[in-house]
Amino acid sequence: MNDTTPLMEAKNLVKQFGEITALDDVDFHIDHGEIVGLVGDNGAGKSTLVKALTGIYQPDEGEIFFKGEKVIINSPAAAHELGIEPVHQKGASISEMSVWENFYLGREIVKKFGPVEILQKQKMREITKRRTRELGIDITSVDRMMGTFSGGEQQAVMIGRAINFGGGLLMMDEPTSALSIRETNKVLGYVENVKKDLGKSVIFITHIMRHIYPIADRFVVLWQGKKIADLRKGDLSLEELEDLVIQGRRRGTATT
Amino acid sequence: MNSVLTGEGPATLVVYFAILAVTLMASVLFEWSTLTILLVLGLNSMVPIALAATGEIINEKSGLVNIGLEGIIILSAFFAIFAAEMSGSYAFGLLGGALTGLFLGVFFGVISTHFHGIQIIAGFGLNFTAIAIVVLLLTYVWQTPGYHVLMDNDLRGPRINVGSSSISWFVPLTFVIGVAAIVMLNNTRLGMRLRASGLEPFVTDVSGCDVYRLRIWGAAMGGIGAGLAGAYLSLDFLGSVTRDVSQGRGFIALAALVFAGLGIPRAIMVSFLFGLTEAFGLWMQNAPFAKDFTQAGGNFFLLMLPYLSVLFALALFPNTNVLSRLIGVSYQRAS
Repeated sequence: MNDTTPLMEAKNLVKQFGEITALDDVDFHIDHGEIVGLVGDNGAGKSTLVKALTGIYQPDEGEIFFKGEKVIINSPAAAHELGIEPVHQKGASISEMSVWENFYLGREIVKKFGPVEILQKQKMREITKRRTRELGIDITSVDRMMGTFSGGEQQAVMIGRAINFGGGLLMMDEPTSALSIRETNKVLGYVENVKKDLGKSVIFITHIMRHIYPIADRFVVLWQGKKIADLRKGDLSLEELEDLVIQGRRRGTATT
Repeated sequence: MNSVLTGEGPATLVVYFAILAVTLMASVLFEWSTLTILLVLGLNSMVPIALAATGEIINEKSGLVNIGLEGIIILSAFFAIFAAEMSGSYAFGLLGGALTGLFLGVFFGVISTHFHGIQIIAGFGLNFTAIAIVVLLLTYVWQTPGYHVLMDNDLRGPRINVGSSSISWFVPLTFVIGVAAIVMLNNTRLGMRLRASGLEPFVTDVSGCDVYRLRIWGAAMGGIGAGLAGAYLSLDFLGSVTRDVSQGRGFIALAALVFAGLGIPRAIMVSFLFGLTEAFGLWMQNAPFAKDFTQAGGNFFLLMLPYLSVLFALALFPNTNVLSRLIGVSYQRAS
């Protein structure tokens, strides 16, 4: 593997739900240490694409390559094996469980006594506390129920979790759509740090262009299930990006 | 200390059992014979409800609701007595009951996960088919549709003498199972994931845990609880099996766990309340001073008493714990 091989690549993905074609022959790739903004209006197929890449949906057609090798991702566990860690929309945490339980669900630290696996609660509390503080997330107590925190704090914990356990690739599905302005800025800061400090790649889904424009390196625009643009940031302005997403074409050009 | 006050955690159960044991010892020492009898009877009739409720709490924490406990109890009661008589061993009888429960629990779990069955209907089905199957089996094995009494008294379970009466060894076992279930739910990897899959199956799934497998585990443990309850009824408590061996105890167990907000210590306390009022009713039926009352039809009222007491408890002290809003809803990752 060399650096010109994309970290992850999808070719000719097709996904249909009955009559509706959610993904229509979409090609997608992300390089090492890159933040890709996956943008489009509601129903454009953004979430479907990420769900196909994280093992939640099975694409009807197409191939997925990870570090140059063909892979079949048929479950979230399989995606995790490859080092792909999803952060889902707000609410994708368990309000009735504590912060450390949310942080460690599915990746628990246990001590084995024969077949019995006892949770190492103290260890998990300490690491959760340390990791969230390193990220600059101010959590008063990791024993508090997740539901008692604001949307931004919850999202921050889940991003912290993805960073802690993920491999090279984070996929974030609308992480800022339900947040206040201040919380949004914080979350965007974490995402930038993921790339800058840790060298990881991020696929960031959103339909709010001004959230993603400042931090992304490249934009992939979906329009009714099709990929209509794949542009580096230098090639277009925020206004042009917004027009592209809303109208499916660039300002001043004719509809194809 | 805090967990004792709120009625949660293993400490509560230990304290609870200690209080019961001390009360029992005191009533034996000071020859309060009536109190001893009531407590002993109460503990013995607490067992099947407490076991079924404890198992079903694990199941409901994982997100499934099995209202077919009654059916599982009836079938397990039959297979326990059948296995005991075939093998000539009490232990094999228990095993027969527990395995019947396990099988039915897993069956319910698979129907409710992989086949997306509606859980209320699956549970209903269990209740109805169980009665029919037991009548069929009674006729086939013992040529009687009515009831079968355990042939050999050696096949009944060991008992612990308390004064002039005795409690079943299942009474301490029930408390041990209760503590074990709490520790399992709160302190093991399986327990944490079970709770998560009941609260937010999607989050649990995308965290890499297999929700269906977790829920089938929960249903299996719920089945074993009801299976042990059935085995206890036919081998220890009654020494016989009929089509109505359970007498609604499966439903009382469901009421107890809803009342307890899926808290195991409180569910066991409600079971004891039921047991105690049942014991009180039985005692009143034979009490000389209540002869006029029972002969005027009061004994039917006394039979009703334990069910009434649970009904009143449910109505007067509504549960404030909020159950998962997704409880009983089948989960599908994506359509």
